Amino acid sequence: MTLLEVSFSGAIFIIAVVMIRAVAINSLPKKTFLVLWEMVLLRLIIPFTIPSAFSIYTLINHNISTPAFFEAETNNAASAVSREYFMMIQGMGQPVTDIPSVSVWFVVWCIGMILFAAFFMVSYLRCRIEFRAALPVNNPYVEQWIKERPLKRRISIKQSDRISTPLTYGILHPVILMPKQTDWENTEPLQYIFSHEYVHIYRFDTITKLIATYALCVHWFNPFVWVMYVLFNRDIELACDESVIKQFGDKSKSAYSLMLISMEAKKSGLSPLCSNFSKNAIEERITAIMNTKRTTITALLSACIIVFVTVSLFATSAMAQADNKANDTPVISERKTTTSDDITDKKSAMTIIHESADILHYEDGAPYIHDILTNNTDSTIVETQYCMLAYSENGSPLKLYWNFLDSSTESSFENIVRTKANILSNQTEEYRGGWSLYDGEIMGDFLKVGNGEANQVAYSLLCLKQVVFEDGTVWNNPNYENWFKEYAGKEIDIDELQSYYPYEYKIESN
Amino acid sequence: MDIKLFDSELKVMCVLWSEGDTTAKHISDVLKEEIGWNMNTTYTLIKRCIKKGAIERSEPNFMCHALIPKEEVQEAETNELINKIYDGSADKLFAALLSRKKLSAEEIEKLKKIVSDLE
Repeated sequence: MTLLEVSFSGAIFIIAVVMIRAVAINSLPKKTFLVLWEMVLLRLIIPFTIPSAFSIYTLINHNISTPAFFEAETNNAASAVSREYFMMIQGMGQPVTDIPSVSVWFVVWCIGMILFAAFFMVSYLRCRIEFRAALPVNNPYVEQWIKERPLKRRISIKQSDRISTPLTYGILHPVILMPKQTDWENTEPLQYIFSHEYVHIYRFDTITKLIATYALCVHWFNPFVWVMYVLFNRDIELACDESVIKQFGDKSKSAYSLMLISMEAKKSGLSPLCSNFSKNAIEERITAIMNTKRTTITALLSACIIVFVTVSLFATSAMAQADNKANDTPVISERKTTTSDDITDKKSAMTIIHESADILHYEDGAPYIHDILTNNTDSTIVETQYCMLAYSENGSPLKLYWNFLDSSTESSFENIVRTKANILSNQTEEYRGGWSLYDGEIMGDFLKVGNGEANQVAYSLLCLKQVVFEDGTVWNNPNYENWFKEYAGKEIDIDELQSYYPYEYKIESN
Repeated sequence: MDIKLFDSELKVMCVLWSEGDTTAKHISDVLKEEIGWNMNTTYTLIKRCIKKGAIERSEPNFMCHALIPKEEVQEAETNELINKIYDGSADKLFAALLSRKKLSAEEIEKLKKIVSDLE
């Protein structure tokens, strides 16, 4: 899959999750959305596809006969981009581009990604430097709280005058950072705050956010991924709130909400850009907390079904995509994305086949050898050179006067012939006469050759020695010498004579 | 003179005020013992204090001298600088770009009403 294809199907997936979220945010466990967003992330990050008959793309392919809409586009515009994208992922170094217009987009994408990644990295590092200077908290309640956590990782709680709302950072040594204004004597809000941050730590939300940020950097050009990023971060908070409420019971809902509101009120102002965005977020959050219900079996079951259906619809790709493409677009062979592996596959599949070589007779009874060739290569054959051997009914090799019209001819087992005849690519050669044999009894009016006996040829074995193609390339049969040694002048089993054809030549391209 | 210092910078100044002029190395040792900061953290803070004009540096040995007495220091106002920090995550950046506007009294009332309505 190309980067654009991944981004496109990711966007469809995101739209689906946003819709589910809009309808069911307060009726499903919040964890449902976390799972869905994590699936979206996997879709965006992993370039592999899982073919499924239930995939939305399979359904589209079946119902609409023109899936070419985004396939054609992505094939042309994005194939090179994606090749480099995968190369980069695999750390394979230098990108190769054959189409300059594509490399422009690749460069733009690369620059964007580096800028976003650098921005997040710098602001993260700046904060980490700032947080290092946080001050320890010496408070018996805090010490007691830390002692009660069973987590293997050592949690510490610090305070700083550089922040206005509590936050958590660090993965191996998580730190809960509290604002300076924290009222350490009022333990009710403290326990909510600590529990909330503890859920973040326990669930490794820092890592999840990091992965989401990575996906954002890669798909920075996709507005739907930005939407995903914002909503995913909100849903992490909502799921966290939900589990705090479950821990403290329904009675805590109001107190917890009011604590959040008072914290929100303390937040600093001074932003020139004003919008309702974050106000909606806090409203959504408060409403969600107040609506938290005990998870019923029904809710859990419907959550599982929704996740299963959504994932199998949108996280998968069309089944047997290649087949569909081949049917829909016969020009498939013109795709330039063939890899070197494909080429060798294709070439090794090239063959020339000797379909048969029969002993036939003219109307007057004169015998001749008639052979049929099939050209399964991709170019026209213009000349063939091959060797003929003749055998009697019993399988004994026969010495023949192959060129009986020439009186000086000697008899021999083999007859090497060169023919100029065009056989087009993927064609079986039409009837074109054959090699006439001498029969002393029938051809009495001919000059008598040898002892003038009747034709005894019952079987003829033919083997190509050399083939010349239209483009001038010459193929020499590497097995010819072996073949000659094996058959020429040798007694051959009749079964073998009868089953010799079709005889296949594998053409290794130069 | 109007010098505003953050808590962490005040910690550095406290060492100077209680021990008199001393080396950066010594400040770092004291604060490592007291708070657990590593050398880099303390040095960064000392440099900030120098920049703000609270400390004067003299050679040799990075000697530090407090330029202001304890009484003249003001607490820096948090809000001015908070906006510049987005702990590395884009949602904080969004929050900074899109809102960070203090909730108005009506908005807070509205939220509290949601709470009481849904209770």
